[in-house]
Amino acid sequence: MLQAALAIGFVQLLVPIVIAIAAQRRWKTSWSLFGIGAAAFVLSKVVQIPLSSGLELALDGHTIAPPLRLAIFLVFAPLCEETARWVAFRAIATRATDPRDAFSYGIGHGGVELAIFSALAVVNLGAATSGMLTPEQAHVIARATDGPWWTLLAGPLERSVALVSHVAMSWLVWRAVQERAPRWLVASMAMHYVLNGAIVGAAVFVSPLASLGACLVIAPLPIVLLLVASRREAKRDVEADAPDASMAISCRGLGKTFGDTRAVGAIDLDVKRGELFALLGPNGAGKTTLVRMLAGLIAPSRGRASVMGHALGEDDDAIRSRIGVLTEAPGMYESLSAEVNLRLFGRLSGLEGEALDARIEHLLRRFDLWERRHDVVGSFSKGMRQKTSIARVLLASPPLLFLDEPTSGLDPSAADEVRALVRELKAEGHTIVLTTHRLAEAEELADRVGILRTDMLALDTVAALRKRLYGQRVRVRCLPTEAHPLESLREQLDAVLGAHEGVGELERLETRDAIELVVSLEAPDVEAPRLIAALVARGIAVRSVADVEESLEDVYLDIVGRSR
Amino acid sequence: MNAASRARILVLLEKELRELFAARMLLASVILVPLLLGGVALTMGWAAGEVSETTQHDPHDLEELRQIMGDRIAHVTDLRDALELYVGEMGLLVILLLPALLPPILAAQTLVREKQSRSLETLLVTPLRTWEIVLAKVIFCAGLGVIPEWIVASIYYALIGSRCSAVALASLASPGWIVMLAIGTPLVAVLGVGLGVAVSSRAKDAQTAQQIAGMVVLPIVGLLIMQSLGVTSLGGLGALVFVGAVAIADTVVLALAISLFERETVVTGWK
Repeated sequence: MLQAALAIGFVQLLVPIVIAIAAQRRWKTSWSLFGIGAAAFVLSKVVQIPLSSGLELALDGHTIAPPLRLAIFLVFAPLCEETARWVAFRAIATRATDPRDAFSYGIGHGGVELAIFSALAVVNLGAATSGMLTPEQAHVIARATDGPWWTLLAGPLERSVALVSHVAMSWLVWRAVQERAPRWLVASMAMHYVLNGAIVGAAVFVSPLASLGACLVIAPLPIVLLLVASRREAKRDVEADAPDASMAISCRGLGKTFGDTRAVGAIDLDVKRGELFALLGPNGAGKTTLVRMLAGLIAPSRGRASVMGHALGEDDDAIRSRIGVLTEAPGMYESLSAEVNLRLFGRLSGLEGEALDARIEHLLRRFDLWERRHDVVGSFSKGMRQKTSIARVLLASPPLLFLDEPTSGLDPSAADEVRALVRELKAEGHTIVLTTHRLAEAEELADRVGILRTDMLALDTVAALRKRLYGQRVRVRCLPTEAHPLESLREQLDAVLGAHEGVGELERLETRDAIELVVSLEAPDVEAPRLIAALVARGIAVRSVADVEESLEDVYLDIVGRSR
Repeated sequence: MNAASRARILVLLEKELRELFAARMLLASVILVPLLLGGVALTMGWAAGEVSETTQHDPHDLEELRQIMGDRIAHVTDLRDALELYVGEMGLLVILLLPALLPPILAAQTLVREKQSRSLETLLVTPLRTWEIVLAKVIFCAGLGVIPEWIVASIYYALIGSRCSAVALASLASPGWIVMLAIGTPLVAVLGVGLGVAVSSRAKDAQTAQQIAGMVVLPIVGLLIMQSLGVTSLGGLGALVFVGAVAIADTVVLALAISLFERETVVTGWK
């Protein structure tokens, strides 16, 4: 009998796990998750019912001692079931970016359970009251027939509690996965275990009435737990994960999902005031979406941020009055002249009169557009439109600028002018977020770069990224001599490299005239002189020593390539 | 509304006007529709005077007209006056179409054009508040329907005054018609624009926005048909009820338009 109990536990353990793990690779919508949750429940019950019915009948014959029976019913079986549910929920939560998706699975799982138990109660009530079934037969279908008619409500009520519990559990597991907080996983599992154990234990060992009482007493528990969890999470968010308002931009877990498409993952980012930050990434990586979120144009799906000290989503009007956004497309009124365009946008930003006139003239002259100020923007070349658009952004001299592809489509000299302008703006103290596909431009201008591909793959200075990826590399070129011909030179080099810890050989290029080594050094300022001294001490002719520096393009391609 | 908001709304109105004068096709439709409908209405006004001057009448016609027009001509004893009134009312109903027809389509069209040129996104990153954008759009588009209506109505009444009897003029310039022209139709125009904005900010494409927004004209067309068939009679009380109902609808639709005009939907929703 013990083996049968074990078998039940393991089968129950396996079915939802297999279904959830297999399904979570394919699901697309909340509705499909609902169906998967329902299917997982139905299939696990299909497997469980014959086995557990047999087990219950056998246990009724007292073939298992009470302590063991207690252990099986209250500890082992629920634990197996909870573990199965937990794994299934976790599998779903790992993929779900929206709690509603996780809820869908929980509601599907618990909802079908409730529906089946409710249907059974109705059928059983009908059968019992019409005399179609004897009490003994009815007992096989539903344990509630022992008591008065209203005890038939015990089953549906239990399952209602279970449904709330499933939803609470799905949310807790989802939070746990999102927050990487295992305590919520433990809390969710414990909660469900206690609930199920109490209800089933009361029904099996006391009476249906006790089960009903247990339901009523413990029904508020998941809701209380959810409320406590939410409040604690909210408090923790406020205290520990609050964006840093002293930064120009501060994001904590900021992300955006469109339908089932995760456009931006969960971004943690701080951009200091006065910093020039370059946001890089392939097409569709989420750069524009991130900029739009930070500009208050689209609402984040998750996370929080502050922009120029104002909370995103709470004070967006104030944010927009302190930023300038150069959108992907110039976005000017093409049927109006450049001057009229700038005048309209200047007035919308609160500029008036002579100050506005002077600012317009200054910017148009700066971009060599003064002579064309009366021409409609629609007649401008792409570069002229872009310059007009940059002039628009700079009208009110906002402290934070988002420049989305500012040199896109510009000829080399115009692009160079724009880069010079960006340098000037930085020197004037503007904070700049620059998104660009021109990596040399980012390397030249940016204090730090972020490489985005839905998630932030890398975030640092170019030098730091280079060092992290490749370490510090030095290229050493040694020449064969009479004392050390090629064969001997090779042996001497091996000996020197082998004797130096913190020096790793990456490449070796041998020709008839020289051996060239590329070595990585953990502490180049210390290791490089020692290495050279050791080579010279052995009589090796060192022709040249030079740092090896990969371009940002190498770094970018490497990081993006690894993410595929 | 504070001074900064007023200033921003004025800038938006100036921008709309400048764009309108720069867009010839749009300007043509804004001029042609009032010209056509105004022309039809004024022709009917001219015809109303012509009817009484040239037509030979059967005395039983007055009874037939009473069956169609009901209480509105209860005080009219002369068939010529009754005929002038009947034709004159048709002209006024055509004038009522003006603010119902143009503004919603104009609202959807200008929003679509801004979306297509990507200038709306540029506008949305300025310090403008959502309600300021919606209000400016409502004032501009409703104004383009209502102002031509009032101009045409003024000419129409002058025409009726010069060509029709004093009885007909008094009935056509009754409080019911004046309320409809002065308050009712501007409210209809606002309703149309509000609906246009609400639909535009939710619709997935421009065509849907225009089609749904254009449907606001249907109640007015229905009123026109029912009035001409004698099914309904627009008196003073009817006008007030109509105005009250449209004012309530305006409040709801404008609140809805402002809440639905989400920057996100406008920026990312349209294909």
